[in-house]
Amino acid sequence: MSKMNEQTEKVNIEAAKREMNRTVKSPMDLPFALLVILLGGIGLVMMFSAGYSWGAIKTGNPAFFVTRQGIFLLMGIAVMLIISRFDYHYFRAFSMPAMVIAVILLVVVLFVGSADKGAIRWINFGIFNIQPSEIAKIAVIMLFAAMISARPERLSQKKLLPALVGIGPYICILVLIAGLMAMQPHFSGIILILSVGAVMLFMGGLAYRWIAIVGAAGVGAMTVMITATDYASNRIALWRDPWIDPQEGGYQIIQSLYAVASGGWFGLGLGQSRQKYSYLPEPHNDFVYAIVVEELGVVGAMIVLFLFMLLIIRGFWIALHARDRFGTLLVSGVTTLLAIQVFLNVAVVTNLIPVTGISMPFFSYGGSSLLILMAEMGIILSVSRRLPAYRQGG
Amino acid sequence: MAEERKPRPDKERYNRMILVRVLILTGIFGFAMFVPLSMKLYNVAITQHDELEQRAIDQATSSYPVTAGRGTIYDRNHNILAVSASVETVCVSPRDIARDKDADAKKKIIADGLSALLDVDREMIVERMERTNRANETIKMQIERELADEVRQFIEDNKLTRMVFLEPASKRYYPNGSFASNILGFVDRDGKGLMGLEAVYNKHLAGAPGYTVRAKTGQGMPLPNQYEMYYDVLEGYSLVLTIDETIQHFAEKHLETAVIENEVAQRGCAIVMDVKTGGILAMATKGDFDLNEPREIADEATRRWLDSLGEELYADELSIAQQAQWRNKAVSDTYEPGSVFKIFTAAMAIEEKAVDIHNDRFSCGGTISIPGYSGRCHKAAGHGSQTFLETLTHSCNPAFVNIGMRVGPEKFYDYMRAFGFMDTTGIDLQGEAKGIIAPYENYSRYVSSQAVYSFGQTFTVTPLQMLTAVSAVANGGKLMKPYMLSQVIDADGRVAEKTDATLVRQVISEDTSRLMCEYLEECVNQGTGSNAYVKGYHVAGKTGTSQKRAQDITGEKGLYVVSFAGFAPSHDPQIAVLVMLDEPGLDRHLRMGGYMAAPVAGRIFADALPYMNVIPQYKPEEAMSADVTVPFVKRAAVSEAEAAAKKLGLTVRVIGDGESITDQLPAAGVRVPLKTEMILYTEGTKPEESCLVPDVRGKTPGQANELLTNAGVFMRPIGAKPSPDAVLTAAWQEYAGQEVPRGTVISVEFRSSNVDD
Repeated sequence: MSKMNEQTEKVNIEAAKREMNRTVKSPMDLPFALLVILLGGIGLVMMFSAGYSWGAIKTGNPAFFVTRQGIFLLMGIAVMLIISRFDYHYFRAFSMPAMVIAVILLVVVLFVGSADKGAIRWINFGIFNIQPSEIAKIAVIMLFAAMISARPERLSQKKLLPALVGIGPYICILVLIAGLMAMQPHFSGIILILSVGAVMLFMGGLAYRWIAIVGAAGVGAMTVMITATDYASNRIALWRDPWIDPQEGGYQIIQSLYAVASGGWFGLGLGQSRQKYSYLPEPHNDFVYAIVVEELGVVGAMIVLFLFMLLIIRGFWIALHARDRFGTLLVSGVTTLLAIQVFLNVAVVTNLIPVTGISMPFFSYGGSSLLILMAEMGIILSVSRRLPAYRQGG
Repeated sequence: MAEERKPRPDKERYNRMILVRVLILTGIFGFAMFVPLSMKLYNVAITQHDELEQRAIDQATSSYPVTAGRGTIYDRNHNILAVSASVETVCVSPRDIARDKDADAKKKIIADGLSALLDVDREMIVERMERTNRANETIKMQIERELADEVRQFIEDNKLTRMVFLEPASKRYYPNGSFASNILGFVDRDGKGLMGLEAVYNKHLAGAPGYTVRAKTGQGMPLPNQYEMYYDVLEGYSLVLTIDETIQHFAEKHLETAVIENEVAQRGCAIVMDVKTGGILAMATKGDFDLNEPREIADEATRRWLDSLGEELYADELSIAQQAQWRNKAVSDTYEPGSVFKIFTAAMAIEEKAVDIHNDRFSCGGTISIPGYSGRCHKAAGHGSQTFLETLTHSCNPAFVNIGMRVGPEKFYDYMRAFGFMDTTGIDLQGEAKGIIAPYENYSRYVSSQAVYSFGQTFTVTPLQMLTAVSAVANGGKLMKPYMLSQVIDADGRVAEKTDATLVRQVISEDTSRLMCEYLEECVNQGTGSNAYVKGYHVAGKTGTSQKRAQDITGEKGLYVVSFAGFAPSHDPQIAVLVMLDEPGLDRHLRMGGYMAAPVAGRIFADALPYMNVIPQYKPEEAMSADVTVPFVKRAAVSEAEAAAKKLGLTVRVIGDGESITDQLPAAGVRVPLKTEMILYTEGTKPEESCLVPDVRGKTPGQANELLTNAGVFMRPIGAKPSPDAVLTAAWQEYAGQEVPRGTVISVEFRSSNVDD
């Protein structure tokens, strides 16, 4: 019996080892990787068109933006592939330092950061600029994933007091980060952090009753924030009718709407945008998607959204099939972050929501944010390499 | 072992929880969130596509208008009456100035430079440049080529491209100033016709602007590889008028003289019409205004009066005065025609055979007495027994009351309508009025109305209505529609439109017309129209004088309208002329159409008919005094010279004892009247000293001739011809009180003051 047990145990261990080896050697999730590269490629092509005029005006070189973006995309693909080969469990150990660095940077930026339209969001590292909020987002995802997977039962408490104790640290971290961001101020960043944080808690198994309460509180806080401050209510007014101030406040969204509307079903054709010629400010940045619609039409724009849709669904598929709770949380967080960014960006460009500064993943210009985005994709691929065998390739 | 291999319950719960929650997130972020995005995308890019794209295109294109050149206005011989020239407008772009690095320095350069160059207020430029959201502020309009070149140089020197720029524009020039001002009219600031023919034919003249549409970037630069579209400009058409510059000039000259000489208070007008077509050859109103400065009050007295007004009154009164001077009296004012209207009473009487022109006698005892009306003939003693023709030459009111009654009110009223007095003529001019004529019921109810209508009183007509009707009488009874526009020609000179003479109706028969032409010539030959007489040209016409009832009920002020309407030559009428003077001054006894208006018409005939190459046909008694051309007799033998002169009907005086002619007076080629005495010198040349021309006004022909001959000049009498029952006096002469070379021929116009109508 015992010998048999030993033998069986030996077999089991070996099987487990085999299994382990197989997962480690297994390839990354090819559909996800291909979607990332496809979107990156389309983004680069659009950068060539959208950045053409602005590049010529600002730097004298029409290819300035596409060149830099191309270099960063290649670097980003390399970073993604390298990170995908890491065992994602290293991120568990890395999560706390990452959060500390993020908080430090968020404090530092308030003193040394460079201003952008009235808000201080960038730290200049000489050869590149970095947004501490970008670091903070991924740090929150990693740290929450690590904390939740270490003590999962803390979130599933149904009684008030234990639940408060369980949820408390997370809330504290979110308040700390959001508070620091509010001092920049970085409204859209706060929305992203809070949304991603909420999704992490949701995936961590927070009881539905607390989700309802936290959700209601969050929506309430948001409403107060929007209606109580002049800054925000002004934005609401402009959102309802940008033409009340067509030269200043409403200018950018009007120009964006002109671009989107000019697209029609099939667009003006690649490179044929009118709005990129000094009408739509910084057409390579947050509003690049407007140029996508203008040049490629609703059809082209929907194809881009469909690719994002596939990427997001595949992301959640990977999260579902992740080997462990940490992996699931990590992938859910990153996928959600990407999805919310896509939603907010397209919603802003089409004036579905008031203007807020959010870039379009893979499309908007920005070296450091592209690198960070690709690193995040690398994290997802890293998890995808270590799925249980029977879930491979499904 | 078996238990261990079973999934743990909490593991299973965990998997289920993850499955459910991942599915929820997938539902939200993988599907649901794309729904509002797609809907909004559809809403903006498809539903609002047309509207918003149009706005995008509008902002991304600029259209540069290419202004159409305004057409030229020519007279019938293609002499230019109004023409547009290219000029430029100086503009600044405050927006571009504000964007410049050295905005303040540039502002100073611009303000200093432009105010000096263009002679405009510096403060105004500074103030315009403050409107920094504007890209086009006008600094000065309509500068000409040379100045524009200086501005261009200024822009280049100071690198002000896009901050200061020139826009093409056009300016209207009227080369002859006040010439034909009341008919030509003028244009407003934007070159749109505001008055007169400029307004009537604005659409023809204006053409249609073209556009260059160009795509541009938000910074105003041309878009690379983008389209440019051109919409062709349609250049304005040119007008060829029926007006003849020369005849218009004659009419204006003589009318102006008359208006000044006779101290006319309410302006006068003269019209010359082509009898056969109704085309207007000349239409003058005096006082008029300078078309190049239409808003300036031309009349000095009015201007002084305006300047004396306070500020609050000035603007209104200025505007009234402007409207008054712009008013075309010939078509917009009405007046009581008076005796001129007897033409039509006579014509309708002949046409209707209401009178026996050969045998009927019309008696005049100096008074009219019919129920409801009593009046007097201008000849208090009465004209006695008259033939039909004599009633006309005497312009006898009592006789015409009789003639009018014979026609009968119904027919009389119908003829008034047929001659066009009830309607506007439909001429292509602005502001045509029509006279005030009583409705038929009112007219026919009172015998008194019928009586006074027959000699042209208590109703009004416009000068143009009157002349159109007179032309009908002259033109075989055919009433023509008067018109100003002969042809419309396009920019390439092709005829785009052409006006044909329009027959309105046949009013009287050709026989009646022929008879009336004869009779009216008699009115000039020996009647009240005698001062319109022109030797050899068979002028026919009728005078009229009417009291201005509305303003002068008691008649004490002596406010009259005096007029003459006539045509020539009577056997083949070519032109008809109307002269009307409103409220003339001078001696009250001279305020008569025959004295004041007829000579003006006579002078217009005398100038216009030779100009039109109408060959004079002298009657036997005229041939005796027709002008001849002085022959060249220098170096000829005295006897030969005398023979040559006498052959032409000149008399000769020889000075000196030489055998051949050394000099002559007048010089060869000068037109002089028959029987003029030629002076032939046989020794030396004619005396070189000049002589003083005496003022012979008021003298009889004999006295005047003597005075002038003694002074060493020759007299050429014009105007009324001598007749037994008229006393002629010189009313007008050339060079009175001036020094002229010996032997100059001086025209002296004689007038009969026995022209009471």
